[in-house]
Amino acid sequence: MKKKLIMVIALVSGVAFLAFAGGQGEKSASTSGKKWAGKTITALFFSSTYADMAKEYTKQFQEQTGGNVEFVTSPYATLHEKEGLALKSGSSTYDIMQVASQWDGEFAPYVTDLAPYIKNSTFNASDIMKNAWDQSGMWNGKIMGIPESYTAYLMSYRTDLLPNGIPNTWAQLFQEVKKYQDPSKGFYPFATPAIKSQANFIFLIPLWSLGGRWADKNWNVTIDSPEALQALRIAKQIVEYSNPAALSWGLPEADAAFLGGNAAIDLAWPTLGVTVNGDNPQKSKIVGKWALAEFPHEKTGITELSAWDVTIPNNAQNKQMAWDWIRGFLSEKEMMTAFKQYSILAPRKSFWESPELKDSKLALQGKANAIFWWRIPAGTQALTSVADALSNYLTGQWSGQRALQSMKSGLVQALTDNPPPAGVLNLGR
Amino acid sequence: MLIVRRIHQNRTDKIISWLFLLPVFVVLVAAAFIPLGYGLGLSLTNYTLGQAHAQFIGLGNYIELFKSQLFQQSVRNNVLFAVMAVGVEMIFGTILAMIISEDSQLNRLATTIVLIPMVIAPVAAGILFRMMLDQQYGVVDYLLTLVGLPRVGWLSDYHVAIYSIVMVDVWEFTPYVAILVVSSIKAIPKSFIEAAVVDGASLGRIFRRIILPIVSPVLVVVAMIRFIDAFKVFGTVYTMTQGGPGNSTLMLPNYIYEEGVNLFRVGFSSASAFVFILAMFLVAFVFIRLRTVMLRRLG
Repeated sequence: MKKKLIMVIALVSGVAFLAFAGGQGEKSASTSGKKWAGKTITALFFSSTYADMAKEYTKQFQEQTGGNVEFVTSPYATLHEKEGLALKSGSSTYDIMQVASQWDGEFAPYVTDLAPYIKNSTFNASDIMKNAWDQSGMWNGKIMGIPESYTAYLMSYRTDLLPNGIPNTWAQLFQEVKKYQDPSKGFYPFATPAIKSQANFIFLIPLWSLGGRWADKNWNVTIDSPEALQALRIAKQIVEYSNPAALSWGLPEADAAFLGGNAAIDLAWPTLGVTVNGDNPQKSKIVGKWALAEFPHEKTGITELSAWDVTIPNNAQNKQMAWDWIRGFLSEKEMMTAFKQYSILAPRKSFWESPELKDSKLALQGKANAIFWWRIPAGTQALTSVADALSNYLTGQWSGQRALQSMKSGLVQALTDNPPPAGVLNLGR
Repeated sequence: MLIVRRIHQNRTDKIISWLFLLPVFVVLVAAAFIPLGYGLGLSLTNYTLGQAHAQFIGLGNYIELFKSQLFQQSVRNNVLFAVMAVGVEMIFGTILAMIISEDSQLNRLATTIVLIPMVIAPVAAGILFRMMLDQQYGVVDYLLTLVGLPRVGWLSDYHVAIYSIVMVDVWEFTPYVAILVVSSIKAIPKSFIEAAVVDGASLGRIFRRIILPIVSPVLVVVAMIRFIDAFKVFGTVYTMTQGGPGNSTLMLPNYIYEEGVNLFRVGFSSASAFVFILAMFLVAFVFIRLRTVMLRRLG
């Protein structure tokens, strides 16, 4: 009995050893002699289609260079803290980081200037749009990241219910959609991600489109304006015309409601859900019955921008390999693949002029007038105070005036705690 | 001579026992007091992560903290949550302990089953209940509609959200209370109960006059542990409501986390954490005094 047991253990160990050794051998045979054979770097990405696309490209990179990229992904809600902690504590864990452009000013001191890398490679940086450089990747004269995506916030709507599209004002839109409010059938005009951390846009976009701002160009806080009060009222009306659960909903729940045929308009970022799944019959009940539109234009038509750039932290262990990966990942060819597979919109001139984009539902993105709030180090603290006041207002705990006063003192405090660098003007709102 | 030798031996024993305790003492100082001292030092500065030099600002962070409306609200929420959750858990836990305290095969099976919620991580429980309590897609509201009741905004109505978190905490930690109390109930000599039954005492009277006085010192300790744990609630809130709607479910740990980890205000969040630690010491002190008084009464 004992002998048999020893034989079984030996056999299993032998098979395991052979399998392991065989796997290793195969790997080294296929990668040896290549530039980054046997090397591995680590990348931190937003867990979304962006990370999917990056992983997809890595297979190709591995084949070409022999090097591997390990991915750490994080939801948006925890990405800022993960990146901030790693960068500010001088960690060398990550060689590549995908940074949301609103954090550029905060993270700029901790990431590598990429100008010399661009200069010494064949990377076509001149094809990247000036607007994209201005709002992402370039900070105070330093190229801290390569712009990866450039997406204006649009809404998705049901073409069968709103055949004339989205009107020019919020008042007209509410008038148009209120007939779709039918709680008995679980149907509402809007599918809205209004959980505290994601609700900002329903205030920011109306505010900017009405001509309001957080602060003027010289950082004097101007949020306690009539436009801001009106924007708050619009935000509240959006919530009133949404599923009562909206105050606890994030993007997935809002998308699920719209794709499940339970809302006329989806206010979640279309490129993270609807444009990917809207015409997939397995995931959508509204195939062929949806389109994208700009938010009501009001006075300015300004909407929110989402832009991401890819950076190399100061303490990355293999910067050259990280750069090789980035320049391949963000090349014209790969960006077009990203668009076709994941609806990611590249910040490249050649991309926006391509026939593929012109024939797409996303062509509208090119026309939208999109901006950020603040890209300075105070940006996150400022947004947190706005989110806090907005959430208290939306639940009815605070009046509009109280919410605006709270936002104002929060913004002033953020600017006092983290003053903008000298000479940096407020180019956002 | 013998007495002198004994005194000498006693002294040697004492020195040896202190030497044995020394490594533990060193580890305790290194693991607990050094970080505490460092945290206290940080709380007196305006240090923000990434900042080259921290400036000493004395009690500035503490003054800002006590003026902060968010801090005040998070303290109110935390106290309300802890009192409600622990109160209900103690009552339900004691009842459950009474039920499963009798030694039978069925009770052993029941004990295993009731332990299940306790072993689930609070974050996992939070995600699970976030889905179950969704007003539109959640199974709880679906069941309510089946019996003709209206849907409830468990997580989206700011009047209700904190009670939803209490409910999840009660679901998760009532078994913990029960398990600790049941061993105390089992230790009561059967003859006490039998004598009371022979004297014609009702079940309620047996519980009030015999069981409760005997298990009360244990109940106080369990309440203290749960109270301190309830103050540290984080994962459930983070996954279920993120402190919202508004700030209706914002708890102290979430507030400290937001300031320290999201905004990187290390000095300020250290001050918040220090106030939190002191408050917990105070809570523990009150409970320990209460237990001492109870034990004295029991003789």
